[in-house]
Order: sequence, then structure tokens, then C-alpha cells
Amino acid sequence: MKIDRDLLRRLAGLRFGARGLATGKRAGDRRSRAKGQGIEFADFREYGVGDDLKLVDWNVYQRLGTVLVRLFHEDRNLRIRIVLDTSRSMEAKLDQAGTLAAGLALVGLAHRDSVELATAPWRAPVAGNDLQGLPAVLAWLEPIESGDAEPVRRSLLAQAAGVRSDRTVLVSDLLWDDDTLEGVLEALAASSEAPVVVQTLGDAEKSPDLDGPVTWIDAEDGSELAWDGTGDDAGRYQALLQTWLDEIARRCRARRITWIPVYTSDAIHRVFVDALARAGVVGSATA
Amino acid sequence: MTGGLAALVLLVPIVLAYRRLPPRVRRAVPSLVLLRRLEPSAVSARRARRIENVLLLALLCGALVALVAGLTIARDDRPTILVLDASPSMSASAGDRTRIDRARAELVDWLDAHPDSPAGLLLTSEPALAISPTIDHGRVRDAIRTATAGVDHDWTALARAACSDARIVVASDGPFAAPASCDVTTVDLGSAQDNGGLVAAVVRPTDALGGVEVAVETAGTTGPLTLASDGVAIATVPLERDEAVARIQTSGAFTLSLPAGDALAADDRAEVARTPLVRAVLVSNEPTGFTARALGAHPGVALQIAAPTDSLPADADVVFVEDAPTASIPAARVTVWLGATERSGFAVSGFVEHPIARGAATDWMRYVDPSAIHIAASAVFAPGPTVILDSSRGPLAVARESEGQTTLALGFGPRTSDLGLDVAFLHFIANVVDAARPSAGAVVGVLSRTETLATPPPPSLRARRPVAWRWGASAALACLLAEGLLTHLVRRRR
Repeated sequence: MKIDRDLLRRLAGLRFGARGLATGKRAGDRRSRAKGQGIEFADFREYGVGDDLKLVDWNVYQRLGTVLVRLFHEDRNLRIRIVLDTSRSMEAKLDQAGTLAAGLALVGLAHRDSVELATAPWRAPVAGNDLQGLPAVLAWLEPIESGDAEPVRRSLLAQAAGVRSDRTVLVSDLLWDDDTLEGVLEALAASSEAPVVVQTLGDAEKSPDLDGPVTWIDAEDGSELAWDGTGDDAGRYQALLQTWLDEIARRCRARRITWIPVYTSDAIHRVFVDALARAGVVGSATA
Repeated sequence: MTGGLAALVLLVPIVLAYRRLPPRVRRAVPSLVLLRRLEPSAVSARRARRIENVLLLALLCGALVALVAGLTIARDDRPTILVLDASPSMSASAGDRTRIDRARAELVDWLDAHPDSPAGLLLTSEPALAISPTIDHGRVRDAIRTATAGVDHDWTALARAACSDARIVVASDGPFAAPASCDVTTVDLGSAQDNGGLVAAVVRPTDALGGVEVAVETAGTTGPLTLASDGVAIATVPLERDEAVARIQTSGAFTLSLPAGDALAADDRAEVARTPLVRAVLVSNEPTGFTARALGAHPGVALQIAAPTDSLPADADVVFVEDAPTASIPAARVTVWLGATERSGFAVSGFVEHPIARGAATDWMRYVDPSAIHIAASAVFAPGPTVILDSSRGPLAVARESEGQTTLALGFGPRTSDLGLDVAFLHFIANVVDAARPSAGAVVGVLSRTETLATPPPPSLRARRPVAWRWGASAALACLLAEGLLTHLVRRRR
């Protein structure tokens, strides 16, 4: 896969949207549930051995005679997981999908978020916590070729069973049968507080060549379909495509999954600043 | 050869049609998930397109077949012999018409459909007619139109002979076993219908007084058999195992009839034409002798007695000669010399006295007991002729048949024996009269079993065929136009 590195530089001004509390282990600039050292006051508790005396609220001690220490909300980083669909159906879209994944990783790493990229379960994911990890991410992404379809679902299911992430972004064309799609969306919804699907669609999906006679071969499983074509195939296909996309959007909404369709003809930079930003997945770092 | 050539030619449009079909390419797509959803309606579309392709191919093939067939048939310039069977069974009903009416119409239609083809005719009417193949169909058409059923001629041998050089179109309800090499087509004469009739009848007199025994064989009917004379029923006889035997007394013609109403009336009625009287001439000097009296007593004889010196009538059925005439004896069916053997033409080897006669097994001596005849003297004939009365000393009576005429000679007569006094003489006279009776027992109207049971063969000439090349060209043009129009519509729709 070919990553557009020039594009990545233009994404440095973005950061992941602040939806929910951060669960990262490292200090960051996201509000988290953890209480400890921070700026924003959270609560009091009685002093215990080992507590920092700087945290003792001396005013309360003078008025009430009780030694209490002040607790603050800790700022942690986001735990971001990016799952890239590398099935054979993604072959024509893999460059764009990889660049999208790399851009998302960059956006996370630039703000010291914990970023993990995964494809297949047998391929160890790559992780990073800051921009130092970006070269490793890119080096991990670029050798990837399109492969089997099944591992994506298994990967998602395996990760859903583990630690939930703050953001899970699935970059895929979602070209699965209904049962598989249903399973993937269920796993995605369970794997994160704020799941996101970036659905990449190419020309083969947007406006396929429907002239017959032709035997179509499914890149995923090699199955064949003889096709002779009829008079109004293009119109019927567009209606069918729109219905299918509407159905996916409905399913994602039902699971609180943010669904963002992206076409290979779309400029990736515009995808970040328009589609992803509008959906709240990313936002300006200066806002 | 022609079929193989046609099959070879048919390959051309098939190959062209397949080459015209766009090749089915194999194209990899990311997924069939969406495309499969187009599939249900595409099945009918694919089927429709397949039907369209097959239809186009069929039309092209049809055009070529029509052209090849038309040209092939047109090249067949062999003449055609039309065979019109005019046997009685062709008058059987076949729907609202008779078989021969249908046959005439079919053959005329064939002539109309083949105006350029030389056609001949073999018509088995009376008299039979054969017209050599000609393109002047007027004669053939006229002969067909005037043909009527009624005579049963065997036409099959002629038709078999003709089929070596010509095609045969047979309009007959009878069997026609043609060699395999013959190109024979049959016309539609309708389907077989129930029919029964007389297939054999034998009539023989049982006595000299008009007694007749009638034996009849039938087929396909339960009878009964009715015998009538002058329109008046004489007897009604039931049929048993398709046979009936009746004995009646009549001296004239009578008819045999079966219940009508079946397909063929011609075999339901037969007429027995019996000559009422046999014209007999007796040449004798004794107009009141035994012979004259015996002949005069026969109810079926018109007797004329002439003296030997008289002039004799020119025509007679039977001539009895007791005394040799001076004039020549008229040509009669039977001539009997009684005692006068000099001019009989038989060689006499001698004379004997009191011979003892013994009979020979001939119809002439039916019911005659020769041993009861006392013969005083008789001539003995030389060996050679058929012996009808023999003795230990040689033949006493002989017979000879020549050109349909029979001559009998007895070496003795009523004057030299007591033959005239014996009843055997009356039987002998009756036997001679029966043999001399013209068409004795002839039955007209009885058809053969084949005719009575004839069923039309299935027609192979089913439809009118216009001139072959015109037919082929018209069909080919129609096919090509339809193919072109359909191709245009299909391409426009796609």
C-alpha cells in the first residue's frame, strides 16, 4: 500500500474529537474518570499516609479540624484503535484506506493518544503513544497487501472481547453479506465507547460497468455470476446502491456508530476536514 | 447427399451467429454482494436475451433451410405419374364426399400446385387410360375430372414399373407395395369407415328345372342375405361365420343384397345375370324323336329343329346333330353328335355291338348312370380326345374343346340304344344345356375381399405445395425480414 506522506503533514492541525472520557494510561489532555493530580477539582478525601502534603486543604483543616486532601480530575490520553480492512475487495481502495488509517494515527499520535493499528489477528498490531511512533506505524502499514476477508471480522471480535477503546475506527468497504455485516457492526459497537466506520467505496461500487455478457468473479471468494445485462441496469443499480447505503446508515445509527462514507474519488484531506470533522470524529487542535 | 449438403450449409449461419454474439468476458469485481441483488430480475432478462438469440438464429437457419429446400425441390425435374384408382371401393363415402371425389380434388390440386412439373396419369377406369408425362396438364385434368369408380383393374404393377423414372402420386384406397427406391406419396382419401359386403358368390343350378344353389361369402357384416327377383324378395338367409347358402327356384336373374348403410354400397348388392333360355338347334330327320322331346321338355331351352337339308341358324348356344346336315354347322358353344360321327371330326377306330358302357368322371355325365344304358351298336373312337364314356372295347363318347367351343361325339344315339328311354338321357341333355348357357352362374357386383376391406393409406401429400422455389424464396425472405427487424429492435432496446 502506498501512503501519501505529503498529505499527512497537512493533518497535523487536527485532533480526535472530545466525545466521552479518556481511558488511556498516559497523561494527556483529555478528561478522564481517574482522580489524581490535575487542574480541575474533583473531590475531597481524608488524608492518608503517603499523600502529598501539598494536596492537603489547610482551610478546611482550620475550620473543621479535619485533614482532607483535594482530588483533581486526571488528564489522560485517548486509547484509539484503528482497524483496517485488508480483504481482497479492498484492493483498489487500499491506498486510500491506508492513507486514511495513517492520517488518523497521525492525528492521534500528534496529541499523545495511544494509537493501535490492526488488520489481521495473526499480524501483531502496531502501537504508539506519540509522534515518535509514526515511522513505525508507516513502516507497518506500507507492506500490507489485500488479503482474506474473514480476519477483519475475527480481529474485531477478538478486540471487542478485550479492553474497550475510546475510539475504534473501522476503515472498510463493508462488502459483506448481511449476517457478516451484522456481526462486524455488533463487534465494533461493543469494542469502543465511540465507534466509527469509515466506509470506503470505489468506482467499482459507485458506477460499475454493467454491460454484458460478462461473468463476474468475486474477488473475495472466487464465486462467479453470469450477467447479460438489461436495458436499465445503471438506474436500477444506483437505486440499489442508495438503498444499501441507507440500510447501513440505519444499522450504524441503531448502534451509535458514526458512519462516514468515503469514495476513492474524494480528496483525503477534504475527507478529514469535511466528513470526519462534520461527524465530530476529528476537530481542530486549536479549537 | 442433399441432406448432408443442407446440413453443411446450415452450419454457416450457426457459426456466423455465434461469431456475432458478443463474447462473455470474465471480469473480477470486489464483491458480488450488490450485484447479486440485481440478479433476480436479471434472470428473466438473461432468459429473454437467450430466447432472442435463439430466435434470431432460428430465423437465419429457417431462411437457409427454406432456400435449400426450395432449390432442392425445384431441381427435382423428374416427371410425376398420378395414379387414380377407379376400383369400386373408391366410391365408398369419405366424409361428405366419396373417396374418388376426394382423390380427384387432391390430384387436381396437385396439378395446380405444380404447373411446371411434367405429370402423367394412370387411370384404372374402363377403359384404362394412361397419359405420358406432359406439361400440358389440361388432358390430365380432364381425364381426372371424368373418372368414375367401378372397375377393378390391377394398376400396381404399372405403377411399380413407372416409379423407376418418375415420382408416383397415388390416389388409391388399396395397398400399394412399392420398392424402397420408389418416391411414392399418397393423397388424403379420408379415414377408414365401417364397411361390409359380398366378397364371393357361387351360383350353380341344382336341377334342370330352375333350382339354384347360391353360396355367399361376406366380410364385415352380420347380414342377413336377401335374395330377390324382379324386386320381390325370394328368400332371406342369415349369415353364419360370414357364409350363407340358399336354394331357390328361379329361372331368371336375381339379386343378392346385404343391408346397406355402410361406407361402400357397391359390395352390398350383386346381380346374378342368368340367361332365361338356351338357344338349341337339333338337326334331325325326326322332329318328334326322343332327342327332340327331351330338349323340348327342358324349361331352359329354346329349341329349333332343322332337317339335315334345311339351312341352319347362324347363332346357337348348343347344336345337337342326329343326322349330319348338308350345310355347315353353326359355331355354337357346344356341339353334340349323337350317333352320326362321320363329320364330327373324331377318328373312329371301329364299331362294336352290345358294349357295356362305364362312365368317366366328367361334368358331362353328371347324374348319368351309363351301366343302365343298353347299347345295341356303337362306334368306337380312336384314342386321343377326352373320354366321357368308356367301355372295355374303347371310348364310346369323347369330347374336345377348342377356342371356347366344345364338341361332343357319342358313338351311339337314341336310335341304336335305349338312351332315349332312360332318365340318364334327360340328365345328359341338362348337363349339356347348363354348359352351353352363356355366363351361367355369373355374378356381377361381388367385390374381392381386398376391395371390400380396402382402407385408405395415410396421406403423405398433406398440403398444397406451391412451386418449390417460390415457396422457399418467400419463406427465406420472410425469415430474413423478421430477423433483421428483430435484430434492429433488440439493439435499439439494449
